[in-house]
Amino acid sequence: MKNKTPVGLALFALLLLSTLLAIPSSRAAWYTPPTEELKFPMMVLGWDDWSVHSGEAIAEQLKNVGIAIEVVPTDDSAMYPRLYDRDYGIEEMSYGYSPYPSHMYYRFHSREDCAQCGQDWSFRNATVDAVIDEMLKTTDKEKARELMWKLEQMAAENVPYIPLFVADEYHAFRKEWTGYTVMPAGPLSALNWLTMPNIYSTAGKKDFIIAFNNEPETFSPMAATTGRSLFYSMIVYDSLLAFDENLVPIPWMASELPEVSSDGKTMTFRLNPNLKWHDGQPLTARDIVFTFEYTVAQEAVGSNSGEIIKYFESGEAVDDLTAAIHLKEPYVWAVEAFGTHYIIPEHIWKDLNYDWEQPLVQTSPNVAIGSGPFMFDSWIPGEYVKLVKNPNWWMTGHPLIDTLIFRKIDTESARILAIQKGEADTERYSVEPAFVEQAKANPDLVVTHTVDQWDYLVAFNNKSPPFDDIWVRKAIAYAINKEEVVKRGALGFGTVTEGYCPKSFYPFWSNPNVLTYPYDPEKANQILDEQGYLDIDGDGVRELKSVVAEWEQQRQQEQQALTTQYMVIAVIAVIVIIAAAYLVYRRRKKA
Amino acid sequence: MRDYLVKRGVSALITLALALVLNFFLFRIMPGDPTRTVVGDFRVTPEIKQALVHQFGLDQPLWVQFVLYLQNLFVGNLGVSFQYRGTPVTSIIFGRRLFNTFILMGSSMGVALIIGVIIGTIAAWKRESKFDIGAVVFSLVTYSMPVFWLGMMIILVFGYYLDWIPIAGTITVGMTYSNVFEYAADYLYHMTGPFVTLTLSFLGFYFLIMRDSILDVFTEDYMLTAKAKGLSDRKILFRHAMRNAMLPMVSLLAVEVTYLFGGATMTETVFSWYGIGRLIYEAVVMADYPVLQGIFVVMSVLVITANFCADIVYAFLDPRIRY
Repeated sequence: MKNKTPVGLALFALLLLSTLLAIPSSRAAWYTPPTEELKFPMMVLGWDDWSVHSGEAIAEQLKNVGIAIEVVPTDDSAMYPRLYDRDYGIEEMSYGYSPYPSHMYYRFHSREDCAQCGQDWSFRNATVDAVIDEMLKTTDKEKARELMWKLEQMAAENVPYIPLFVADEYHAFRKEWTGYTVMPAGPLSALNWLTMPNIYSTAGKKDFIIAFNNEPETFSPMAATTGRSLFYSMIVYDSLLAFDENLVPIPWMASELPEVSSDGKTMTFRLNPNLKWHDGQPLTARDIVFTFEYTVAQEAVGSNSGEIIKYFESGEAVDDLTAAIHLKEPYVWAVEAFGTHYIIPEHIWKDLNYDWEQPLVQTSPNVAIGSGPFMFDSWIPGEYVKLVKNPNWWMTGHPLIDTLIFRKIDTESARILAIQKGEADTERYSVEPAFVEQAKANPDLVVTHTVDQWDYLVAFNNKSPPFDDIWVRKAIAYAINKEEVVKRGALGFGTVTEGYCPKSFYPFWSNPNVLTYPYDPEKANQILDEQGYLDIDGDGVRELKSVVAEWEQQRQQEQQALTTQYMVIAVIAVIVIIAAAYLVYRRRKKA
Repeated sequence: MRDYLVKRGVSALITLALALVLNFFLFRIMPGDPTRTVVGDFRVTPEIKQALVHQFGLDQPLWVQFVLYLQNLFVGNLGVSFQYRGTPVTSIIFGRRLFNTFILMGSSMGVALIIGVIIGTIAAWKRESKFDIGAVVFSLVTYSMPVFWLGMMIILVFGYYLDWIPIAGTITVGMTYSNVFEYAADYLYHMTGPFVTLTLSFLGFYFLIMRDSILDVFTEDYMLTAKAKGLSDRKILFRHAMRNAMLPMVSLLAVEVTYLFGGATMTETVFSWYGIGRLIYEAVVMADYPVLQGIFVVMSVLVITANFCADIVYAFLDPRIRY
């Protein structure tokens, strides 16, 4: 007991040393491409039951075409570094959709093939790049759509990944509430501008309580990146445009859709007259221009900022109600990106540095000034955020409720109980699948249904054998029964996606005649047979092409060797027979 | 005695220094990418991610980060949180969260300790009586019950069906209070659920330890001496047996003091109790290094101090302990 300190010291030193040693080795390669047969581990996201169970369903289906998959549930802290390092062969989990299909750029352009970039699958194709580049520059939506169709077809032909399904979105409201809009990503989301100003209670209730799983991590519209903080920013800070229920842009603070110049480099927004900030100051075109200048100058890190920083060149307030925005180059979704950027007041922000270390200043009543349908009232950390109606909002008579409260309730079971009991009126995110039936059965609740933003897919490392062989990818695409995957992986709470820009989420952009891979295990088997992936040892798993080829070569060599042996034997036999015949003949002659 | 104190003190300081160093590396060997978990939206471009990495200081070499960490620690600066976009860690930890956790854990641990010690002493005294067997069975059941399940059942039965307690939070949403007492009443009303859950889950443990150590003490020679001196049962039990049986309790409490600060993640989550336990969980999921570091710095200081105090209390409780 007396000399504990030196022993403790030594122990600590040892521990420290071992942790230091562990740092470089924690990024050692995990995945080795198969060398014998079509057998590999598939990473799925461990905490996401849907990802895990979908993976298991896929593994079983691929067994039928002689491909052996071991599902490896992986923590995201291990999974993302492996994806960035391309230290994997095949993986399955959910990605996400934006309100406009910018993922068609992020997921297929070679520029996005880098660590922490848009695509994790090392897909590079110069022809595809050219089509994307052209599409990004096309401001005419009809023409852009033609290119998008072409692009979707090319993506389907190359199968860098296989789309599986999008998660379904279920929302439970207490039944007295109505007036909400059900659209992709749900009736309450950062893509839905329509619900909050229009929702009302048939029972005359004036305060609406939304249960959140956590509070907004920031109240700054310039730093918002998660669904919670974007939702807050959307209703406190207004935007020029909004989306309708088909995710098509509609005028909002602007009185009409912007005029786009013929070279596609200038957009002119016209504002509704009499726009006001929450503190009563008039909102003018100068504020619009200021917002974009500020975003670029301060390199704000909010979600919408990326495209603004990339394309904004300059802006001018032509008069109080007209703002002209000049772009560095034309951009297909410039109207959407600039139109849905949250507008901030110049008279407050001009002296505020975008100091990311002080974002909570945003909750001080003098700074939390926007122009949206609701105004910031109070925030009790860990409990709730209270917003009140903006009586001077441009849409006269709206919003129809007086108070809007975001209440933090940590678990889904407690949220559902709170809604059933009336402590909350709905929740911010989709009802978790395990609770959907319970919510539907409750007479006090109404459950809405649409598609969510999360799309599940099987991705390949397109550079790693055998997935560098397009035929393997195609065969796997044919071998997956997506209906079954939804049924087993998502308990049926998903919508199958055939294309890369699916109709269920992007009705405008989706290609109706795109190449699809209907479930056809026989065709998958046939492709693999034709391509030379054969099961030569009869264990139910196909061998790699190279192994089959080697085996074939060996068999030929053996056959050749055998033929030589037979020849030698035949020659010897002939000689022996001739010799024997000769001997017999001589003996007869002698006799 | 002075020598003993100095020795203990120096060894506590060395342990603290080592813990602080270890604290830095512990979270950085966790595989993970703070920017990816912080950013939940898909429109975020690589440039924005780079900007975040720069803001977080994660583009600096590890040893530079380490020196900065030590420098800041020295002036009491625990850095800024990733997930809460730059809110200082000190204001995240030393705020409502710490208050909530302290009140909840302090009261439930205190009550559980008092009840556990008293019942444990009586049960040991009346060993194998109906009371003893009943108490042992009860404490084994509550001790082995998963605390989140117990909490959920309490919410379902008392919060939903009977409507006696609220389902979540520490105060009523949107309520304004005319004075402190109204606030306190509302707060305590909200605390009922988590308080009962935690008290039940701690109770069995304290009870079993106390009962066992009293039974141990009963076999000691000095108990026989006390009896031979003709002391009353009450005096023997509370003056001689209980005081000696408290020794293991003291060392136990020195370790358990971290709960006071660390909170009970499960219970806090089930009852949406805004405390430190829930914060630790969120910070691990989000790879929020500064918050984790901050919590563990405070925790190690707390444990080491508590152990130091326990050493002193030991010396007073038991005259035999002298180094």
